[in-house]
Amino acid sequence: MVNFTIDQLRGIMDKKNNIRNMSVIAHVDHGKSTLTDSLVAAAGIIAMENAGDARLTDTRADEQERCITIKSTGISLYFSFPDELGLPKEAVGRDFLVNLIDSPGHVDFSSEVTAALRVTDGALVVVDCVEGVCVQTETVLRQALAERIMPVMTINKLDRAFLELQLEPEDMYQNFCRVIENANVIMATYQDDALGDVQVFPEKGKIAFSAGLHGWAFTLTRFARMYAKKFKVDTDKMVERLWGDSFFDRENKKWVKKEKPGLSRAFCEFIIKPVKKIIELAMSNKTADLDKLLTSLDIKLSADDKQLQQKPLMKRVLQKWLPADQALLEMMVLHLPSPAQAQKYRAELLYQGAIDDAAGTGIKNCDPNGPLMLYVSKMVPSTDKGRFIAFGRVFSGTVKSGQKVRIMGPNYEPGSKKDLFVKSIQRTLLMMGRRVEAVESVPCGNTVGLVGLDQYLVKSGTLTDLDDALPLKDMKYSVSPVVRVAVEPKNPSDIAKLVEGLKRLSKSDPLVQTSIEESGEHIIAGAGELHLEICLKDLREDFMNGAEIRVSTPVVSYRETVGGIMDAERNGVCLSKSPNKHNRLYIYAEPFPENLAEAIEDGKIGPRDDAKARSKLLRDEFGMSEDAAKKIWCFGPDTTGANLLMDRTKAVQYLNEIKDSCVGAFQWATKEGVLCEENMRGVSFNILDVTLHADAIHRGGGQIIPTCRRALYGAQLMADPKIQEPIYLAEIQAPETVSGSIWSVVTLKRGHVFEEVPRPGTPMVNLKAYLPVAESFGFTAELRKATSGQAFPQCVFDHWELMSGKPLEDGDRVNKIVKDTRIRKGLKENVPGIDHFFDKL
Amino acid sequence: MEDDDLVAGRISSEISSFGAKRVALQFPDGLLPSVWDVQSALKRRIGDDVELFVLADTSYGDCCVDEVAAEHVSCDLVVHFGHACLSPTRTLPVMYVPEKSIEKVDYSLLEGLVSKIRDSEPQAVVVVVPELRYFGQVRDFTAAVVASPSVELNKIVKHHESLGFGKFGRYVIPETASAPKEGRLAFIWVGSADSRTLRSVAVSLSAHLVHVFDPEAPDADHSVAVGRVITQRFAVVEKARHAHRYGIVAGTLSVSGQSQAIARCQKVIEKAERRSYTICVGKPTLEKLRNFPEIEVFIVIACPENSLLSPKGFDRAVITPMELIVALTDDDHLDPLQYSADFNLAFSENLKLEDEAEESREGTTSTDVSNRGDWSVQDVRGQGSAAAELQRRSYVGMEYRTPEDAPTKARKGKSGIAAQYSDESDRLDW
Repeated sequence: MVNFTIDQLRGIMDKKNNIRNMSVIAHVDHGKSTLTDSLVAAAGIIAMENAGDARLTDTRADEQERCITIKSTGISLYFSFPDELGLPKEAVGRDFLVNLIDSPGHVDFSSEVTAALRVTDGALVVVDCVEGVCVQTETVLRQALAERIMPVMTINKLDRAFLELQLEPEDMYQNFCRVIENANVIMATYQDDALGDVQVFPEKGKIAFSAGLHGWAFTLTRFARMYAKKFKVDTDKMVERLWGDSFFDRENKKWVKKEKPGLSRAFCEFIIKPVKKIIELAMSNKTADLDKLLTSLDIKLSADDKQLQQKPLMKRVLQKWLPADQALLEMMVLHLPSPAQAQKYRAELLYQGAIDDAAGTGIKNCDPNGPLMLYVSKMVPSTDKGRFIAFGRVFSGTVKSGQKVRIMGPNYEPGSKKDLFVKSIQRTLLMMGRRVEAVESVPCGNTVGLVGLDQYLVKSGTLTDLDDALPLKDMKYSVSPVVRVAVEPKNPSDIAKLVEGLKRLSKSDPLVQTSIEESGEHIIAGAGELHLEICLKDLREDFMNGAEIRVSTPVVSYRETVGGIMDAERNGVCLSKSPNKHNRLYIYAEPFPENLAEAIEDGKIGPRDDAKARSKLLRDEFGMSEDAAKKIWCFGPDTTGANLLMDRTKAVQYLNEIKDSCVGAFQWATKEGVLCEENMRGVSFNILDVTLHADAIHRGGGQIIPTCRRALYGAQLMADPKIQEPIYLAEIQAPETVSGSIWSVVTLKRGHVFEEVPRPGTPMVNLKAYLPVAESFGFTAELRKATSGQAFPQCVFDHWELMSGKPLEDGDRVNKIVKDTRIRKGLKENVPGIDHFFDKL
Repeated sequence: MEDDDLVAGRISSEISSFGAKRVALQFPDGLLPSVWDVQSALKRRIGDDVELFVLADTSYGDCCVDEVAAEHVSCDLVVHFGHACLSPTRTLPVMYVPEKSIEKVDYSLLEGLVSKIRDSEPQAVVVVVPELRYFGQVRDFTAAVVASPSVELNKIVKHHESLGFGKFGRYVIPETASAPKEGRLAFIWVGSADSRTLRSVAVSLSAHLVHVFDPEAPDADHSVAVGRVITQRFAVVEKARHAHRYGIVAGTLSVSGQSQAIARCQKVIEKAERRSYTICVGKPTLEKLRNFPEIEVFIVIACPENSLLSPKGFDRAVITPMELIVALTDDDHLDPLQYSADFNLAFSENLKLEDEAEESREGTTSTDVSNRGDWSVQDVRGQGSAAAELQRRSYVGMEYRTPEDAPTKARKGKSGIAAQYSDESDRLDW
């Protein structure tokens, strides 16, 4: 712990080249928080009463209990750069400030990672040396690179390799190589040219090896410096010799490039073996031998330390020899960019406006005297119940207490007043884990907490003092909220509290969506079961002032689609007449060709494409007829969704007049399908023929919109309506012995395992399975039960799947889903019959 | 129909004692078949010196008194038959004659419901709110407090505003029930569950327990539907927040204060820097409203029962004036305890108009309906206006094609009547 006054700290914050903002990212349970703790314990800035507590950055009681991180937490570290090393370019003095954000690893909370990445420039990727690169490692790495965040890596939990697996040094080396290779494949895939080469190699100093639990870590450079003196070679040269195919021939005292029997790899010989030896000696309590070794390594133990035995002794010795904070902080300061450097290439990605206007230049140059540009990435509940601190990063200018700023929310449209407020900042704060400290001002390149803005910001937004500045780009999340529950107050008079509570909940979490459905239900949508559970807990305990709520069983959103019938052009045409009986619409529905819905959802095909190129693509790749591909009127719902309205009419008079009305009706109908008012997906509606009244007043929107909606519904009903359900991709890691139980649990839940890959060098297997979201509730618990807690799934929404079964047939499984959804939405239980929509000629 | 004579007798004696000379009889569409019976029965009793007029096909909903139509024939009294919303009229005295209820209502079931509520919440004060047509029967019911309509039925009401009405629709709850020290009020609605009156009552009672007792289907449970009404309104308000163009739908001409309400809505919208367009379509339906494709949110100025249109039937938000204020002012959310569908209450507290002089200009006579106000030319093209929106549509009106649409000399068209135009020699043979 470093004892600093706020003034001293504030002093370093002005040196924009001596700051590093970085987030710690990894798969769940790879040891982020523990590693962070060991850093904080050694270099954390504000002295806290409870220093040394386990999981310091897990500020919430439930985080401590479950041993997972839920919210990302920021902490500041001080690093005095060692005198014997050359300073990084542009740095001023040897004092460095490292602002570190510990982020959650569970996939349900990956929106927190997104928010953390936005305000940082570098990332420490933590990988468990036993489990290797996992699905979430890849997700967060991809996110980081998309935000142009420079990564460095640490291979963690080395203690497990030594103690649990008792690996041979050479196996350990091979294992590390594999981890590094896997990580580099991901980095190369998602590489951004502006960021330069982001692949990590130990010999470049961008990889550390650590044991977070025991508080020790090293980089190759560290050992190289030690051995450089002994072998009298340059440190840089020594680093290269310590990795890769480089062997030391002890007999001839020579370095060899080729592997020969009897020779051992330099990495194993000079790094793994000494560490291993210390561990062995300490664990077997051979104090005399250990003392001798320690003296040769120039490590002095205090009298207290000498009393320790076995594990504590090993821990203390290694901590003294290879302190984690020194190795990791040195790596971060040397290889991660300062805000001044990073903002040069990040500016164009962050700023919506022209990069050469005043605000753009300010960001690019990280200019503390430029116009204020501040991005608020999340809202943190403050000790003041019900209030929030806006947490964000100053990208340009300096933010001061009492300053008047323009607050631009995510819905702000330049030039309009939508989602725009001009308000003063009450106070500016430094966020220090569980503590906050008020400061007068914060210059660019730093993170900051702001008080007094929570009424105007929902989740995120841009603050500026320049009138014509455009906002910074809003964040994109990698997970979508697919699991929903409906909540209502137990006591009807608490409805106001619930509305207020939901508002606060929505603020406190970047991803959670709270909404009121038209049916009058209050819906909370989260990324997964765990996410939702945490949200509901927060709502109950923190945001409702004690009022009780009732929570429905999880609600899955379905999609309505059609199976299609033979010869739909003749057999599936729905005729609907307008209320005045003077207009007639003939429409039939067809299912999409395969993969088209996915292509539209991924943005490969969209309403803004060039019409010619789009029809060529539709014809060539999706096999649509040329005639159809050319005549797309619109996409829907919300003008971008995966349903199409096509004009297949021939020579109809006044047709252009009713286009807007039909488009309006199509948007409405595809948003609320006929079966249970869920969104439609993958349906193309074809207008076959239209008869219109000759007089314009009788074919206005009022006549056409309701008629067209009825015709669309009728067409859907006549084309074999179907339901699609959302499917998770579940990734499960477990010992091979329980793989059988996993298969049976997955099958019981209507899912199927489609991949099972053993992890080389470990008894573990990786399983991938598709699992219906509707069945996923309680899946984690059941899986743990069936495998005595050894399997742990990570579920991410993957795709929509057509449900077999007939939605309109009483007693069918799908029919039950339709009916339940209708009842929940306050509709009549049965789907209206075709006679509601089909008119006789 | 054994007591038809009784009712007719009561009506005629009321009319004669009031001394009205020209009386309008207003019927809802459903009761039109019995017009002749009623009219002749009355005529027989009051003789020829009182003229009777029948008003049918009301323009805005048959629960409101159609004062304008009555004034067209210079009536001095309106007799309103059937279900009424009891909205105060501007000037004309009214007599309300409710529909008849079904004969046999099993009140033991209602009694059971009351005792059930008492058991679960002994502190609660039970208030029975009868639908208008059950009013006569429930009045004698003693186990609980009975709310009464704000006017006496079958009696002529001159200025019933002075009677005072609460936000529970047009019902007056006896003072004994108004302030329970502990516990809360439990309401029992006696009447049909889809009644529009129930919607407007339930929305203001969301903080309390509302039970439904439908004498026609005494076993059905309707509690869910009632609880949802208020949250549905929340959803509609959310939809209304970010629109550019608002349409104010004049949905009544007879409820007092409606022209002020329109003016105030315009003010609120103007203050929020949005556009407002005032339209009149009679009874608002999807077909009629969608003839204004540019308008994103409709504000209905009507009696409470016609204001709360079910959001299901519309793809655009249709809201009440109070919801408009919530949607457009910083006054962040709808307070369910203050909620009312009555536009006169919407403006009572939150919005005192600064411009009092302007307010006083608004008269209360029916001629003001035609007051067109400001005739000065306005810029209709600005951002967010309907004119700007029209340009964005794919069809913006007749296209001018050359040379087909080149100017030509006017030609003489047909004249005469459709059955036989003057240039046709033979009359069509039918």
